[in-house]
Amino acid sequence: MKILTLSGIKKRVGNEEILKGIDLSIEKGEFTAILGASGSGKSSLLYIAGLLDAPSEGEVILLEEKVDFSKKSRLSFLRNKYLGFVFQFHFLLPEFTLLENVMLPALKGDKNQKDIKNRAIELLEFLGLKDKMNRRIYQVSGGEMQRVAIARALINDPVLLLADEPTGSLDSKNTQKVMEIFKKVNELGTTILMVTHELELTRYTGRIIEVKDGLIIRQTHG
Amino acid sequence: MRHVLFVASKLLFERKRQTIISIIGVSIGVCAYIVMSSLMFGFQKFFIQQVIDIEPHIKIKPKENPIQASTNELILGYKSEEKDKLMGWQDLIEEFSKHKEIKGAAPHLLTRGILKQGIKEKPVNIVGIDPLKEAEASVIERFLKFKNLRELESNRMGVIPGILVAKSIGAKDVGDSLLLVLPDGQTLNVKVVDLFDSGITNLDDVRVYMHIKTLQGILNKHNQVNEIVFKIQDVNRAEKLARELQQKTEYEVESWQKAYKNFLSIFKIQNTITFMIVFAILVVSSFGIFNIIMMTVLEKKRDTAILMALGFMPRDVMLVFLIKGLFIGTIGSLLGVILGYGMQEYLETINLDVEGLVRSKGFVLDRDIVHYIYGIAFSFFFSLIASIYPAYRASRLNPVDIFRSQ
Repeated sequence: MKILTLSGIKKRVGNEEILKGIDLSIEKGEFTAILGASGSGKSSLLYIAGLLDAPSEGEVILLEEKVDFSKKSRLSFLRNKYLGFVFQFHFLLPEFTLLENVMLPALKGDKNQKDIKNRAIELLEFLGLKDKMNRRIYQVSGGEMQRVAIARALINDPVLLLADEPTGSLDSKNTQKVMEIFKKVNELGTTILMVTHELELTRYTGRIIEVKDGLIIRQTHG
Repeated sequence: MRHVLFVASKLLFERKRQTIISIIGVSIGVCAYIVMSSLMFGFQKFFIQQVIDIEPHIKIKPKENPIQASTNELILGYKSEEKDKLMGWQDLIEEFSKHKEIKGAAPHLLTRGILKQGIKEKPVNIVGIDPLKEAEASVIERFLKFKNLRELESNRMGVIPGILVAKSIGAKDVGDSLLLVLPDGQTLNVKVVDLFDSGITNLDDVRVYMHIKTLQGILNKHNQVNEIVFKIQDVNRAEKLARELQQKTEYEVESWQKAYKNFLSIFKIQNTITFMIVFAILVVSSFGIFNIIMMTVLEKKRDTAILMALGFMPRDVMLVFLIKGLFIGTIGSLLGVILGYGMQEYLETINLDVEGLVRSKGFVLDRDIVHYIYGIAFSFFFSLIASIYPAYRASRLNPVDIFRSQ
């Protein structure tokens, strides 16, 4: 089952064409890595796939719905309901505890707050952070913060988890830890699309898409 | 909405110090509005109420028309007989009293004079009244120290001077003998039968009441009057009714609003100045709110971007920041209301002689709840206005621009 389809995606910023016509489909259950050097257009591709940025040309289909990028409220709804994000930096909110950070995306829906809290605790337990759930972000390490960000991305059980250089700010030990979590999450059924410039990390993924100068130059399945 | 409140609740105490200063600013604005309004309107309502009670709601008097007067009259300042009296005044009273809005009417004879006691003297306006009829056309008795209006009936040489007139010539009590000098040079020994104290300085300082028959007799103006006063049901309709009555007579019909239009105009100016001062305070506090929210928006760009990535709509983001502005407005208003109430309580305990256009013991306050409501409404309005632009700016952030800049 196709979760996401990108067809003829082009992205221009000023006079520069960052993406020059990308066609890409993500199947349910895949763990896909978009590999490319800095400036190759891989992050731009992820932002379009994550409905954060509109393509200059081409279309995006998410779960059989052709995405209309002019409808901001619909984009917000789709992001909240179907997508999860993990960025290079954790982007956790400093005013909130770890638990509250994880709960935040789910509060937008109509789920019971108690259920949301239980699910958040469950995720933090799964990621080994239950005992720190009432701490603020400055009271935990960088690796732990990134794990909280993963829990936050998973709180709404997204159909697609998008990760932009998720280990870019971590040391090798935490990198391994985070990648193992991604692997485990994927094995539990979550589809993942990860952007990275580190070839090493692609050993955790099942599919590698290499991007260079705004074009897909190679696709390999692991 | 719960996700918006959840985030907003955490941002409320961002930049604590500035937030507290802004709250204080708003509370001072609200407090100032409440106190200044209650003082201003208290004074104005007191003045108007006294005027309505002691002065005629409508009066009829001869027209001032110097063009028709003879050269001699202009040069010498005399007025012709016809100019200073109302012809057929009984018919006018009878005719106008039939109007359903008129509750009572009374004739007056006005003249000037000098009231003396010993070496002290005071120029006065003498109002000749019929005590029985006067009671129907005004509530003058309420302002009499000893409620002796009818004493004028039995003691035809009695006078009721204003309290400040009495004070300036040294008359202290009922029974004091005074000398009244009339414009034609006649002198008359009169006795104080009461004192009137309206609280309005320019009445209490010049007016003297005496029986109309006595005045008519001394001035040799038997059965003459130069003013008819009316009491009406709804004082607010005085101007309209005066215009209606004007159609039926050649004499000048004047409402209390017209007679006191200078004062009413001053009140309008006073109110405008009050509003401008309070407006300035609230504008300054609004800039404080604007500043805090703008700073918070700029500081929280990254957080705003992540909220949007997590599914917050631009509207949600706008609400988060508007709530912060309204929080400042609400807390500031509540504090302002408490402060304003406290100030009013304090002002009411101050026992000082207020001497000016009106006289009173202490401040006359109008403690109408409407001043509180307006104060809160103004602060809410300004808080909202101050928050809209920064909140809108936050809602227009492009998350991708923020993520790329990290």
